[in-house]
Amino acid sequence: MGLEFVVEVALIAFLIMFALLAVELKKLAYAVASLGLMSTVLSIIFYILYAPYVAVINLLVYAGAVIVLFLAVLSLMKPGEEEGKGKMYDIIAEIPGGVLFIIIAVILVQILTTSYIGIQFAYGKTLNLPSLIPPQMQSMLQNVAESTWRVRVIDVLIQAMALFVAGLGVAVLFRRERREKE
Amino acid sequence: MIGLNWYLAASAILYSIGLYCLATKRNLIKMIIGVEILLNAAHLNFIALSTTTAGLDPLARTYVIVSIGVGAGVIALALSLTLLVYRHYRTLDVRKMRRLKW
Repeated sequence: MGLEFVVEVALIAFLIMFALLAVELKKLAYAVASLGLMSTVLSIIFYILYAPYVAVINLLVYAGAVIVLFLAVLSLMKPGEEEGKGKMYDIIAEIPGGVLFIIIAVILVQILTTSYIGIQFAYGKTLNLPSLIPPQMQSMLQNVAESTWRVRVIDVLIQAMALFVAGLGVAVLFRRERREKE
Repeated sequence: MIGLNWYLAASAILYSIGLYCLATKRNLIKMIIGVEILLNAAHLNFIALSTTTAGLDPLARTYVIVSIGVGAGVIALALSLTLLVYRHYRTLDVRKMRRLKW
């Protein structure tokens, strides 16, 4: 059990902890900050899993732009209006939800690990994550760029269109609100 | 590097946290946070399953990149709609949004 193992398990633990905090914290600003930290930890995990492009884009979009958007929306609301009252965390009120969460988690872990065994059976050998940088890693960056711009070019164009429409939709919604005010 | 099972279990737990959030929370912002956690869980699953000693799958990574962009657009729209809903109803509690007439 080396340092690498400890670091990766700690990252996974932090990921789950920040996700739980994002869901459970009553103050929305803290919840959003926790979501940002979760996205940052996830980006580090992507980098460890040899996905540097995904890590950088995740960091820019989810840990950057989306969090700024969340904070902007929160700042446009009346301060204190939507924050929970009373205790920071009410354990008794969360018991039914907690039981639901545990049931879903156990079922999903069971399904995923079973499918993992199935994949191993299909490959005919044990699949593990690469411990050293594999030779494929050398050409991987080029492969990702190639598959983005050649194989999945339609997806990328549709994504650009979807983002454009989303931006237009947000602009129209805000404009309508401003006009109503005037 | 730790086994693939750890990452699969982590993504399953993240996914269940997102589902739990959508099922139990009544605040619209919290529900959007739940959707984002669900998206992140799916991305982690894709990346973990595409990284094995049998090879790295670039198509899965490309798919995740596309999904991140589309997810960000969805969240932006959901947040702007949330803001409009808040200005109309003066609350983010989904139980109190009963009137359909704008």
